[in-house]
Amino acid sequence: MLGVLKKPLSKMIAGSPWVYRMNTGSCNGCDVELATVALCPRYDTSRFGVKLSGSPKHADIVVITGPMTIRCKDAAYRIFSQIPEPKVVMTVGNCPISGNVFQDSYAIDPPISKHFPVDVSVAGCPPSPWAILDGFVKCIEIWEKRVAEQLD
Amino acid sequence: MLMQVLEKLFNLFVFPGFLFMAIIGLYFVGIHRKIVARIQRRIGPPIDQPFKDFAKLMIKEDVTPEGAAKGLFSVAPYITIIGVVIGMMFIPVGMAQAPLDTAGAFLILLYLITAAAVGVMVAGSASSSPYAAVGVSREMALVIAYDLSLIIVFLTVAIKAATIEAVAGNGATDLLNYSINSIVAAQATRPFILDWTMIPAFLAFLMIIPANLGLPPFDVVEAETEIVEGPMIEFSGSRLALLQLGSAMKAFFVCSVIVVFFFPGGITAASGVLGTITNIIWHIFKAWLVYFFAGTLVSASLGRRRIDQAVNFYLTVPLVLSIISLGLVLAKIG
Repeated sequence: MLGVLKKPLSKMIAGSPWVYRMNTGSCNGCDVELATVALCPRYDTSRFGVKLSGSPKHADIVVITGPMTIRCKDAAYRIFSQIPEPKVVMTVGNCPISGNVFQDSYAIDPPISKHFPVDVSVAGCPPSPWAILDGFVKCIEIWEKRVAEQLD
Repeated sequence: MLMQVLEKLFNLFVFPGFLFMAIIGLYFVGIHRKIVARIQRRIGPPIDQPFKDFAKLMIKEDVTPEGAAKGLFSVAPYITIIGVVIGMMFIPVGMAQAPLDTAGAFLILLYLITAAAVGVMVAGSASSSPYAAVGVSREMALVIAYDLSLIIVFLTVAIKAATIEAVAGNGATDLLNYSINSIVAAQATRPFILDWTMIPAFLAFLMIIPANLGLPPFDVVEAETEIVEGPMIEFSGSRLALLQLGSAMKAFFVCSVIVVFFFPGGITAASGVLGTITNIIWHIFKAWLVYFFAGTLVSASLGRRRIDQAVNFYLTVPLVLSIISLGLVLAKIG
């Protein structure tokens, strides 16, 4: 019974990824591209069912910007642990991948993949809105697989 | 006896109770979001988006925050749903008789509309978050602000129905004996919306809708950008799904109350299955029209007001309108 329903159900659920943004010390360049360009009505991510949520407890896709400064590490861990399973993690920009221009600084602790299980990385300084949208679409594909695993 | 019990259970859980309200309510919200998106020149989510959200939230992990009142935190999401489902029992949806009806039923409806708001308040205050506390205090202020006009509108409708019945010389003329069925019967020849003395009360009720359903411009309770969904902030998983389902069902319930109070009645007089289904669809369409004009169009075109502006608005415009209507009806004008 559930076996037959699993595929349509996980497809249905995959149509509702809610996004939570987490800034771990970004210079705001990526945030501008992400929040005010990629998530704006012009590109309208709500057609994929994406909804920006303010509370980590409502989130399905976590979007992380910034190189993880030492100061916000504790807060980032605390917020991340509040996000209910299953979840997908996406990073935006070069900083979460390598630290970018802040490499070797004493104040940061990149890469993000050292701290959280990253699924999708969008590179660029800052990445273009189309790249970020592409990242969202890839996240939704992974999210569908996670949902199917959850249904098992 | 058994058949009666089964019939009432069917009414409670399937039609016009839980299942029917859930499906129609979620579609109301989906169509609302789509139309708002089209007005704002977006493509917008598909109209079955609320169903997807609901299914998604049901499989998500359920987090109970530290410091939350555990009992209340798990009970709170059901309060709104139970309130509106019981309220729907008093409303004749495409039928001649509502499943439940009693003398003074309009007072019970008034109480149940407020009970639905109390569900949100309990949810927020049980979750031990400062954002939720702000949301709860705003919800209380709003309820106090619009409840006065709501009570006057309900009284106006009941007094008007009593007056008509008294002129016709039948039925109870005592106000407290007034049931929803007799309010519907009083509008058999002419719905109240065609009566100019009732127009101010109708407008006042329409103005209450945005605050009651948490839509812009009076979505101060859930203001995402300032207090991050307010009372809902700590909820996740199935409890959040139930809270959202409750607010969707409430949308259909409150619009149905307006339909019954101001323009009830079916489109066909034919009995039988086909006639009943036509009348049910007609009722849903009328309820949706109310939601479209008072909810969708208003929230697509206006920005959020502050809480003090919202309270000021409700203590002036709808209150004055409803008092005008009450005065006209009491003076037996029109």
